[in-house]
Amino acid sequence: MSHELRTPLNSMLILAKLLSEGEENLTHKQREFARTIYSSGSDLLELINEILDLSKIESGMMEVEVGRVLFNDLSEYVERTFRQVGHDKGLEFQVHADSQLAPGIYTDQRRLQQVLKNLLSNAFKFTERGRVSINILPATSGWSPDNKTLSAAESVVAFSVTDTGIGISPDKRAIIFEPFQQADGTITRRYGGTGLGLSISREIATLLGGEIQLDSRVGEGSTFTLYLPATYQPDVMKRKIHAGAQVQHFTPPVREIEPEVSLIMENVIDDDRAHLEDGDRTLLIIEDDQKFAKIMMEMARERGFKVIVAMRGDSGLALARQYTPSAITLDIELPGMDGWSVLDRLKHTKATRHIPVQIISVTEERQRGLKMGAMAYENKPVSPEALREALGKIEQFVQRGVKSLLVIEDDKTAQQSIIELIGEGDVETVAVGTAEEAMSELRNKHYDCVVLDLGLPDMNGFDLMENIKREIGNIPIIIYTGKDLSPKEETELRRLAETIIVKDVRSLERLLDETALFLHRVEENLPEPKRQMLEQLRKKDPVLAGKKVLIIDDDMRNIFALTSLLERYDMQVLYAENGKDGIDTLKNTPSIDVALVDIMMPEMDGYEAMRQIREMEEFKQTPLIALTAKAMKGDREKCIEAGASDYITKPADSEQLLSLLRVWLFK
Amino acid sequence: MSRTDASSAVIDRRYSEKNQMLATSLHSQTLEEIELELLLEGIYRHYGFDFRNYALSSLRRRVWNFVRDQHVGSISLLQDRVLHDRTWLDRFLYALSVNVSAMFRDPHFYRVFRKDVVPLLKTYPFIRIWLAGVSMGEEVYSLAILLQEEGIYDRCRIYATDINDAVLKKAKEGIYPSELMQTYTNNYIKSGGTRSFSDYYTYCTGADDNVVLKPSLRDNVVFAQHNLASDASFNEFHVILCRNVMIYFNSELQAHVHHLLHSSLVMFGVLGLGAKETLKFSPHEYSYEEIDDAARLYRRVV
Repeated sequence: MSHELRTPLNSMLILAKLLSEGEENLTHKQREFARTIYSSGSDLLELINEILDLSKIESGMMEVEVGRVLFNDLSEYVERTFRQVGHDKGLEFQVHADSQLAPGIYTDQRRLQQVLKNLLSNAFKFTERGRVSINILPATSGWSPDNKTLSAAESVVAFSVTDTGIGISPDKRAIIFEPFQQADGTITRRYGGTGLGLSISREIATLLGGEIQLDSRVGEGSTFTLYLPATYQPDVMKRKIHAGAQVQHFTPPVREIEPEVSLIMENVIDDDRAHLEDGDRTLLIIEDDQKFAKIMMEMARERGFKVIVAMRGDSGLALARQYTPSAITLDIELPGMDGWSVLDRLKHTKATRHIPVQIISVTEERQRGLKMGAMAYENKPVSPEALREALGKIEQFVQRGVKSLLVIEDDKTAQQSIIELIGEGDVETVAVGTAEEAMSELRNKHYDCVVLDLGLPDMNGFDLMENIKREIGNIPIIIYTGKDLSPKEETELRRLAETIIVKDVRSLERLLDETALFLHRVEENLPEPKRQMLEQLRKKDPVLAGKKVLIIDDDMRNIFALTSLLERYDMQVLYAENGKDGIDTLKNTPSIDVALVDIMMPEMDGYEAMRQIREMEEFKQTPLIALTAKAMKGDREKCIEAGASDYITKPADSEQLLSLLRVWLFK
Repeated sequence: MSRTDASSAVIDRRYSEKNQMLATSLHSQTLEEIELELLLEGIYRHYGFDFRNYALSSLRRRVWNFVRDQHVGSISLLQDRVLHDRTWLDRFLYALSVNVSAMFRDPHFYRVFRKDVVPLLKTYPFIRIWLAGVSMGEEVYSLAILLQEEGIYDRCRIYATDINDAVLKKAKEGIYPSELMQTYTNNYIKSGGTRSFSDYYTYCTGADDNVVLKPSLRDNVVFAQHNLASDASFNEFHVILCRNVMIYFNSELQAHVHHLLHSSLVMFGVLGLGAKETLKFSPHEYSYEEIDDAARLYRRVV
């Protein structure tokens, strides 16, 4: 429903702003009208947002996102938001946090800010002279006795907003919390605002486990105090569930089949698809709101883009494939195929996956969009400034398009051929011949990818890679080498490099493909670094910490993944790539606590390896967990018969594997 | 109506709808179809082998061939034997898993492999190849010969898998009837073989009926049992050949296998399918680009 409400407003606001500020020949009066339209529209938008909020809360649909909120951040936020207002009105503005306070509170930051903003906003609105202040302090009383949550809470924080304004008489105190009511009993907007703020604030306070108290004297001023428990308790909170509220089920959108060619012909807006030339910067706008699409089209044309417009998801996808535009703006709520499906398809098709996509939509799913590979995310309604900024970003991106590649190769001829091959068009290639020059380049400039020859004069390739990872961080490295590599060397290299290319007749082509993959991947999310995960937290688990685990598996992906997982729990990980090497490692390394054994391996498979291990006296009791891709009935029994203590199927669920390890390592 | 009344009314209605559907389907199935379904269901539940998503027509043909060869009266009688006697199951599985093949079958495929795929492989320091569904092993040895002749065999590790252990054992032996050698030799030559085919086999001692392929062809080959329908990815490969295996699967199983193959292939790795197989309409249609469509060789790009 919010889509239907916000979308028409969106266009109206932007157009009004453009009219009032633009360069067209308007009379003073006409500009005045435009400004009025804009401000009425803004008011309407504010009202809609608040009504939607209120209805969400009342129907029990408002979600609470709990997190740590620091008082320092909060203080900064209110300062920032109201400093100017206070200055303009000639009022003193004070922000104070008590020294006895803990550093923060555990609650929904956004909602808390919303309430404080409302209280402060009212304070400034109804005060002509004097001071507005907000005081944050620990509280042991002040709230109503029948508020069980606050009374039972370990500690309570009070946010007191005091003003020297007109004040509220006792008999009016209840009314002001009612929707649309003001103290003078009228609903006229003498002081501006929607009249909903306090109702919403009260609901939010309840939602977060607290309440708002009011103390006031007519002619002297008011103090509104928000009391909140220091730690939000979800199960203690009483949610108001509207009788008969419908629980909405989210049904994922059905994947559409390929659009028919006829859809491509659909061309309601007069866009530029008929006049495209080579070298044009094209923007594809996928947006079902015709007016908004037109606005964006004009703006984009102003910046020198040629524009194609699609009003349905499926035609948008088809046009993207047909015209491969320089950039795409994408709405989520579309007929034909929803924006998520379109984004998914775009990012999973070779021809279109590198095109930067900017999402402009009413839905608030920024994280999801970015995770799926969108370049940026704007929420509607979007102001003209924001829109210009978004287009500017796109423009910059498309222009910059230049990615930078560092080639570390001492052979001049090879350098030349690589530069010529890859350095075409949008890749800026720099070549150096020694490790020292390479490190210097990487320290001074940003590179998107590195091509590295192993045979450098001043340092061997392995060492250089270690240096790069340590000093520069995670940058994709492609090894390009004429050297013969042993299996052990290959495995070592693969820990640090993305891929290895052996110099041969077709190797330059492969080099081109692999570098293209990494240079474009930078636009989507960076691949997860091999030995690091996004959460750097080291987990403490006494049963696992310090234990030695041997992984016997020839699937490198598994070894990397398991090593990352287990090292996070402070385990020491060794590996071997086949049964024979596994047994050797087991014999030669003291006190291995547990072994994970793959079944399908060359030289000696897992069954045979486990049988042989069990024949050795010293390893009769060592826990052996079979890791197998085989999931048929009877496979488990086979593993156990061969000597496995337990068994887990690939792909191994992390939690399940950790449980198994805990079971077998518990002494 | 209260909410619980409403929902139970819905459930009642659905239940009776389902009953109706069941009733109709029961009437439209032939007795043979029923027997076949029961046989496969029984084998799955008792032994774990899942043939329920195999393509009906080829499966039916094979089952009937087996029933006739073994002089069993009906599919139901076969079910009795198979469920109560493991040796019957093994024989039955064997009959279902043996796929007629030949060395250097589809010479065009091997030509293109030599010309277009091998040069790509030469850019990798080590090459892992998965041959899925090798049956009696003809493809394994053909590929081994090709790789040896192209000088990259030493860098390769070939994983040859099949659903059936007994069949794999035969593949490992590398013994073939000598009367087939003429055909094989012709195929070999058409595939661009650079030596003499007879360099690769010797006659079995004592009899002229069989030949055995040179053991050195097996040096870098791992034979392992793997079930495409139920097992997961067990490694990452630069080449995966799954030829003339999926024609025996229905489209649901085919999609499942395509997914398994895609997730086991490195980026820019090569996928090879059989002459009657296709990527079209599979979920990974756009994940590959063509190396040579007639040879059914594709390269993963997404």
